[in-house]
Amino acid sequence: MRSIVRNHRRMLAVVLPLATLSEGIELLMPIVLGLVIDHGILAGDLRLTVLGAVGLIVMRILGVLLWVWTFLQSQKACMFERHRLRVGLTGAVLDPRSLAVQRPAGEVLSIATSDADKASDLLDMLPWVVPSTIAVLAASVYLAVSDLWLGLAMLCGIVVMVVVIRVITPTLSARYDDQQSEAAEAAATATDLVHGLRVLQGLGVQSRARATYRRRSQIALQAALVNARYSGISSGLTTLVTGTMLAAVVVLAALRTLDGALSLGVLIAVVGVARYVMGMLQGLSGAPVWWASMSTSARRVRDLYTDLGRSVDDPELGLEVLTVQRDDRGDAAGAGAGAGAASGSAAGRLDAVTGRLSAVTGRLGAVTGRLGAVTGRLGAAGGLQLPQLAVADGEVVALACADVRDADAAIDAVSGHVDAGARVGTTPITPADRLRLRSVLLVEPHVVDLFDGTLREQLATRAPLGTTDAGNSSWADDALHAAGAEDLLRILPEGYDTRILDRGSNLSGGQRQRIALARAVAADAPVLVLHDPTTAVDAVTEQNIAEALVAARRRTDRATLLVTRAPALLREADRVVFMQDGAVAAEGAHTDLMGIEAYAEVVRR
Amino acid sequence: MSDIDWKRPLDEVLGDDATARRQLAEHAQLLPIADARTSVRFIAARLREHWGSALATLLITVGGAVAAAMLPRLIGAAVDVVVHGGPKDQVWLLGGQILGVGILQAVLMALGWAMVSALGQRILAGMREDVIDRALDLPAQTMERTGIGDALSRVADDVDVAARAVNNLVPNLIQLGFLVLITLVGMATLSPWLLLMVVIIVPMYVLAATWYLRRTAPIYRRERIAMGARAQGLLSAIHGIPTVHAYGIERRETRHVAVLSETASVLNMRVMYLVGRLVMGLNVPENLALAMVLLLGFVMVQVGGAPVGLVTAAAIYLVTLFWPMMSVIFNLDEVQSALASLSRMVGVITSIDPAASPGTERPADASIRLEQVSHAYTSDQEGVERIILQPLDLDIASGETISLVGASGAGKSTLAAILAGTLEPRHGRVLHGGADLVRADLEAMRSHASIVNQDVHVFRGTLREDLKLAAAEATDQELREALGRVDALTWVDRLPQGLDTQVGEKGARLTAEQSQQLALARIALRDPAVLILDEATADEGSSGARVLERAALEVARGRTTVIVAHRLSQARIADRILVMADGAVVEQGTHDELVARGGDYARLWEAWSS
Repeated sequence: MRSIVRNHRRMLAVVLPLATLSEGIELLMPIVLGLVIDHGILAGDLRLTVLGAVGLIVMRILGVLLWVWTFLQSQKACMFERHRLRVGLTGAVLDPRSLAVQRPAGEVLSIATSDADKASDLLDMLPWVVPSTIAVLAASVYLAVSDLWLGLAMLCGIVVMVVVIRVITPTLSARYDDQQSEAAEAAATATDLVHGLRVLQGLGVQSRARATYRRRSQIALQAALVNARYSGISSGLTTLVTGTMLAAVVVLAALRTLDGALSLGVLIAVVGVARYVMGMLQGLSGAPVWWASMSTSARRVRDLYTDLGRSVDDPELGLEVLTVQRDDRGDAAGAGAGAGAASGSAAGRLDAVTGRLSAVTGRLGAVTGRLGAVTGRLGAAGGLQLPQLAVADGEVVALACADVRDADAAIDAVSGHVDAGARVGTTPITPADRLRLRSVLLVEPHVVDLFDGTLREQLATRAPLGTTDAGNSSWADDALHAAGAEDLLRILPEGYDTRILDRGSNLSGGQRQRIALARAVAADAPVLVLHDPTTAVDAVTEQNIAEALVAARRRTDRATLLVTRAPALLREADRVVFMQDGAVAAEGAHTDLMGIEAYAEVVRR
Repeated sequence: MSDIDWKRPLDEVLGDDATARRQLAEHAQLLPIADARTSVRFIAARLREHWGSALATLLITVGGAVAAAMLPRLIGAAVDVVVHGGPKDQVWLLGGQILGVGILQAVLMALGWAMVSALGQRILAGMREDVIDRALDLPAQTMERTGIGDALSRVADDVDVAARAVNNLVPNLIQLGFLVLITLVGMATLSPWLLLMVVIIVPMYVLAATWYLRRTAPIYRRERIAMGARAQGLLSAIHGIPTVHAYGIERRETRHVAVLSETASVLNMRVMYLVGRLVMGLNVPENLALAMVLLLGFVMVQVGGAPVGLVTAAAIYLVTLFWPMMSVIFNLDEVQSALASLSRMVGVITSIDPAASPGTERPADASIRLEQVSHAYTSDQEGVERIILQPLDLDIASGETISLVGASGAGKSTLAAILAGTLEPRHGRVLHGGADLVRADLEAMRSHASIVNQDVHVFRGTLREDLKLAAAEATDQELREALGRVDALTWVDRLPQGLDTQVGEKGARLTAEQSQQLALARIALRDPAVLILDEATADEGSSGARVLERAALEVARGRTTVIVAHRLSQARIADRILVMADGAVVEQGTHDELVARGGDYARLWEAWSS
């Protein structure tokens, strides 16, 4: 929260006094009105009446202009802050250098959206609460100056109002929280049922699901009805206080006027001001609750940053960085392990400007020459070494593990989540270095994640620069072929331009897995590791994939490791390494290993 | 501090983010939306259902507004007393009246607020239950084509927006609305001169409100789309963090969210600029009214000899009006979004028919018969169907186990869904135990055949509640038995609270394998006569796959079973194997027969077993 204020110190310094001025003008209105009625209308002075009317209008216009200006300024600041927090959090969550998120995605989402919004409301609230409070105080002073008794009555009114607002209303509105949590519970049930719709329909238990929801909905309704009663009472209470106060002020002011202590104009003004103060207090009554929810939200935002090991003001998470910088796919010069045939540094630079190729061609005059020659395709990286096995350039090796944990350990080692002595060429894969290695090493996760985009965009996720443009889709055809996914072009209504929804929700599991595989092949990484890439496809397709995939990767400057137990893939690999109980038990061609009973047992399912 | 250029055109904000562009361009509301007239008629019908409380609410609210409108007159009367130097008793009397009216107003407002809100909540609860009703019966194909996003936003977001409105906005606006109305009546009855003012001022407000709504509606609509896409982008990036990091696309994904976030902000700011202009615009009629009251007041008092209290009352009426009018207009955008949500809910309720039982036929046994069944999901421009399944005749005996083998896209899942009765084929007849599905009893069919597919879902709540979805009456003993049959009892017993452990979204995270076991346990409890397993054991690590295969076979025992087989080991145990290619069954027979025949299946088996 402090960061928010600090960021907008200058805005607040200008806006707060001006907003106060605008509020003051609003307060002056009934006072001037009273004067005009008294000295103009009642006294029969037409000139004064007209002048007063003009004066009032000028005041109002000024007040409104000020209000609009301050309103826009504070809205801009508020909106900017929401955007900044949201983007900063997104950047922090996705940044591989941050600590891993331990919270459910839904919670992160709600922090990055609703909490970021609420915390930023501070900038909306301050320019309203501060001037209003000052105006209420000023009004009370005015009344006290007009007449001490009136001032006292006003003070009484304010105290009662504050008591009602601060003490009684919150007790009443605790029901509101009950209602909200029951409503949230009902909404969560609804969401859950729709998410599980296919399961429900598969089981044919729609009517039971319906009953479950109806029960939830009725509980939520009961809570809502209770809340409705209490919020009715609480609105009635504030109205009651206002009404009583008004009656008291009218009686007091009228009596004092009859005594000759006040003029008629002041009487009208006093009544007007009293109404104004009461209205303001009612508005301000929401402020404490607002403030509380704001600080809670701000705290949640801060906690998330802390959990990620980052901070709100991290310059690397600033808007100017996150909205401009492009993905750097690892510094090829540092990670290329010296074996790169293509210019590593050029590739690195090219990657940094992906997507802005046209602008770059002009700007990088010096590199243009090489740009034509180098398509961004990287050369051999020196193969992949693990303590248990080595994959040389030009090789496709399969790793079959009797125990799933061995396979997971191998994947962890090559993805650099732990330092287990794996290397690409001569560069060790460590948690510190893994990011720089991303240009030459791709470890395709087993769990498929696709992001919203056309089929072409899916495949181009990391395809080398220069291959994906120029309206030529042979690269994509090749990738689909290698993943046994050519049938997709026939099935999808718009071919490569068909939109694949988030998480591939408009595809079957097998289709998703094959698109992910094609995406990995299209990336054409010097070293590629695939983890169980064909678990969701049928035996026929698996056979096709095995042949096409290995053919696509079998090139002198490419090294490929398949962690799998699928016989089709194992048979096509140059070499199979069989691991049992954490150690290499056998090594050789699939057909030879089939003689070993333990291996055959693992592989034949 | 850097700033956003708030006046930037959206095109520039979106930049080269093609996905964001597509998402924003997509107006495709996939489920129906009701038009204004349907919505109004719908709400009117629901109000009629609650006519008693609706009428009482109306009376109480009007009463509260009348009480509020009496206050300025009483104050005016007090001013008159003072002007005439009248007796102090009179002042006390008026003070007492103001207090009395104030109390009356407070009571009526409290009552009115509670009644409006309660009425709204009742109607809303009925509506959200209806929406879920319809959503649960949405055909699976619709959901597959459109994704479940739209359905989710209807059952959660729209209900939430509407509920918030009913909580606060609706009672508030209804009270303000009546207050404005009655105040106008009060002014008009105070003096015919003031009536003139009302006639001039009110249309200006209406004009301003119309202008504002017309301008903001499309902006809000786009902002909502941008916000939806923003949430989706963030969620999918978080879910896909392993992939994001492997491919080094974290900046791309961050930027995608940033672009959408900025789009939403810029759109929101456009509304704020409009608000600014609206406030300035409203200043005109307000100032006009103020000037008129003073000048008319002068004329009335000095020429017409009216009491000064009347002018005071008029001025108070006027000032009383400014704030509610402004507040009504300010809240119009929330009203607008609440109305949008309402029409989306009504759209679902009125245009999707609740699943009704097509007939009363009940399956006599667990056999299945297909007669000339074929299917196509879409037709091309010339209306020619894109055939997914060629015409097929098939007889499956009670208790038989069938395996479907074939490449992706061969039509296995389509055939499986038709057999399960979750997909209605375009042509041909499907009979379960002699009962034609188009004339069968809905609930009987639902309990007769079940299908398990790759989509696993663990429902939120306790493990017991999840399982009881399948069999509400089951005892703990039966639940444990079912879990035992799928080999899940070992890990269930290790859970901190056993069957009472919270699972699903907020509870203990189950592995994919455990979730799949749970799905099979539900089948054991549901105990259908016909079971379709569509890739039910796919996509698991190999060790898991074997546990699941065992569990699936155990659960399938004694039922007519159709397995969409990924592994030939699954196919092999079937009584009959159907080999499919391009939407047709090309080979059929037992494992041994097919191997002996030397066709596609034999080649596949040869490659697999060598």
